[in-house]
Amino acid sequence: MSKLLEISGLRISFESGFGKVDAVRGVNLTMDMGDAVAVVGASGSGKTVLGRSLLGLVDAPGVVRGSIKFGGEEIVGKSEKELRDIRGLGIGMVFQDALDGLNPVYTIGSQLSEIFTVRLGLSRSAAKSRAVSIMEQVGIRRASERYHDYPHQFSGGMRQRICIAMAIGLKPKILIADEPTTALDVTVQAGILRLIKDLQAETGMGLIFVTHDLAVARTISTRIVVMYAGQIVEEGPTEELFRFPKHPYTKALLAAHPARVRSWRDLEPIPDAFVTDPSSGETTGHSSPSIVITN
Amino acid sequence: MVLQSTPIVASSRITRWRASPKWQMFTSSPLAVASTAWLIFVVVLAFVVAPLVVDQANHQTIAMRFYAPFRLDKGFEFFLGADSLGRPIMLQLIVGARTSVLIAIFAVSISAATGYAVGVVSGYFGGWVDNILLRLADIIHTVPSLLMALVVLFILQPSIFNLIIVLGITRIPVYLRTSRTQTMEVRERMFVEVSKAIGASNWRIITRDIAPLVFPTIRTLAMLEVSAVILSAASLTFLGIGLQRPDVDWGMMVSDGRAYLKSAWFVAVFPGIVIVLTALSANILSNWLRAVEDPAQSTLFFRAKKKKGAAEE
Amino acid sequence: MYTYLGRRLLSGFITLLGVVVVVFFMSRLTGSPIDLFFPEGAEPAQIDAFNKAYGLDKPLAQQFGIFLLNVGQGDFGTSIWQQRPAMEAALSEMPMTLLLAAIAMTISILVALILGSLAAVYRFRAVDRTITILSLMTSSMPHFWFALVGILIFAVQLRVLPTSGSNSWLSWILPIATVSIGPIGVLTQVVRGAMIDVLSSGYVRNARARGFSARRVVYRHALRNAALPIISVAGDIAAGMVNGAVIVSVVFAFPGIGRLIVGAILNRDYPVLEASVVVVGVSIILLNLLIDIICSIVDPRIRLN
Repeated sequence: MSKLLEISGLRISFESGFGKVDAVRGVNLTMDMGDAVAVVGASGSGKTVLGRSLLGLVDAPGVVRGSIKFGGEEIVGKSEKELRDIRGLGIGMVFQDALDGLNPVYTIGSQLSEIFTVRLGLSRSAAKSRAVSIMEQVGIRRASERYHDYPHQFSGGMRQRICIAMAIGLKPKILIADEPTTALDVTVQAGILRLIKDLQAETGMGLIFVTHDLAVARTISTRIVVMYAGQIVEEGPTEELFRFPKHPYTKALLAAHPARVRSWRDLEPIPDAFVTDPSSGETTGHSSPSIVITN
Repeated sequence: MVLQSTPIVASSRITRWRASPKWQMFTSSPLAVASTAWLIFVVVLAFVVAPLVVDQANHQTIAMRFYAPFRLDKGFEFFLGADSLGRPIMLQLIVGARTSVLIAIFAVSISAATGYAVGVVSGYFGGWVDNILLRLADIIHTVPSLLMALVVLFILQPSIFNLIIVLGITRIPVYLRTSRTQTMEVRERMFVEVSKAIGASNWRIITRDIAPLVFPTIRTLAMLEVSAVILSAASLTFLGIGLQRPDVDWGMMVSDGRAYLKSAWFVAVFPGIVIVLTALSANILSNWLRAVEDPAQSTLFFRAKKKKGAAEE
Repeated sequence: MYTYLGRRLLSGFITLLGVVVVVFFMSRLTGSPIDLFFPEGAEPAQIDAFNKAYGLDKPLAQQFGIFLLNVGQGDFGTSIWQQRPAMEAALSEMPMTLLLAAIAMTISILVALILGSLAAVYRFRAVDRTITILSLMTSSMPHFWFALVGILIFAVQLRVLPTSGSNSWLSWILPIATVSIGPIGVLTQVVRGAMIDVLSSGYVRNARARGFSARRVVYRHALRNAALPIISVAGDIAAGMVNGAVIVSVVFAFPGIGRLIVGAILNRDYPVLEASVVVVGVSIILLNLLIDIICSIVDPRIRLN
């Protein structure tokens, strides 16, 4: 039986008149229904681009090579029309900026209903009741009243809940959450994380949670994937990775956690280059800015 | 696996500038180069050549009336033909260039400087000062500039100076509004609060913190306005207002040629072409400057052919 | 919302007052119409009678007082040049100009929306380049030159369109084209810029992520947000159209307020000048008000604040 999601040899680069940037350099990843995978990395590690590529949202000048199989079907190379069938229905996505993610000139009710009328062909009233129920499901109180409100009338946390509602409305098999809590303050964060966990438990969908925050990753996931410079440098069950990190980058990331750092002297610079000794297979980090690795 | 270090190369200032991204971008864009070339050409004509040919330009020869263009037998200056009084069009264009350039430079400078300064002060202090200044700007702004200029230029004698003053004043509101809005936005930023907390005087805050941030927007606006001023000046002189012979302006030349459109089209068309080329060059250049600062908005200048240093995310 | 409109109306009124005052003083200072109506060596008695008839013999301050009183009643005096009530002259010419401007504005906006959206969606490709170059060119062209070239090509060489007048619908084509060509250039760039911003926004990306078709994304989600900057620019454009109308009046002998104003200036006809400027001013203020209303309808953020 094929896995829900199989990524192999994924390479994504951006090629323009200004040069070429390799954002993702050979990623392999699999997941099943019910899996909760956290993709952890710093900015520029390629984690966001990875998430977007699953929905075919990497536009020119981005070039996607390799294979992404969703339920056995190859996504890379699909036409825009074919991709549309997957988006929302098969895979849903929540983004970081909830305010910018909602159209300011329409009520959130109409934006939610639109999903049901257009993609499922429901009638106006059926779509409306679906929308209201999903609003309640994500924790919006007085949903039927707030159906008629505009995005700017909601708080940040509520807006993100609405975005989550929009992403799961069509009951996708995988939810990709790209740093959904980064722009929210800590107390609100907890609520959103709990919501996502509950939703996952209820629906059994797969979850890919992209973040740079290790603490969040630990709470939400059963498996962690660490990305650096477009590659996966380490992967494993969450608790095990936290207790016994193997790759120097992972170790450095964990060591930089505020709880372990008492003064600036405790901070170790994170290496910006990794060298793998071909004979022993061991990877060590180097932190000299003037050293460049050429393969 | 090879490890190598990248040395830092010392170089002279010019070679570094030559290699700088800005210069590269400039030279790789034929439109930007062409526009700049034309503008420089016009300026040179205006300030270097014009004083030399003024007398010849205004010299009327009845025998040369409507002399057709593209012939060199009567001399180089008649290559573009002659107007209704036998004056060589090419030389008239050159003298007209001086008028237009002077008007453009000074009018834009006056309105930009005034609008910028007043806008910053108005936006920073707010209150009734702001209200009054805004109201004044509104009044100037409500009456379409052409009308305003028409009316005003009747008080004053036709002259280049007055034309500059009028165009300078009528265009202030644009700068004032932009400057004011930006100032109000910058004023709310944290570093301004910090300056105040340190005890900086208002003057210092305005000149050191706020004004420099507003400046780039004004500069971009001014470049766009150069083209607009050239067109406005031409419109006014076309209507017969603001300048009198022997002062020449391209708009005036077009107006002169209007009556002879059927028989001597070149009298009106050549000045028109020059106006369009100059305004277009100014427009293209200001667009290029804006594109350099915000590539997302550009289209004419960034092609996917050469490899440069900067990489995209 | 109504208090907002009320305040804008009041504000506009005050501006208008300012405009009127400025025009009054400026036109009085331009010089007396005497020089135009009476040849040198005319009899003082005639000059005095003239002055008395038009109230020009009184001190400036008093003239202003009388002026304000009359204006309050809508009376702008009698035209020195045309021998009829000034306001009547102004109001009779305005409709044509308004019609011309309205048609030109509609055409400009429609064309700009189409071209600008095309340029934004096909950004950096040939379509975009062509459109951008064209709009740059049109916004660098002075009205009068476009008009003259139009006449040269269509009326003189090809003989398809008349050179002047306003009798047939054909004679409207060049004037409308002249007035709209500049705005088309500017608005296209504005639409393009707005569309590019909107197309790269989060909600458009979300709409795509939800599997909506490109057409739906552009028409329902993008366009309405891109329209906002356009509407606010439209106000300035409209004012600029009056400029174009003036030129068109002169070049095409097209009826309209432009013709009237230029004539009033040349003939030193204060009443008509004042009346005309007021009429134009009021139109623009009302137009801006209309635009504010439209803006608040389109953007709920403004409405609900």
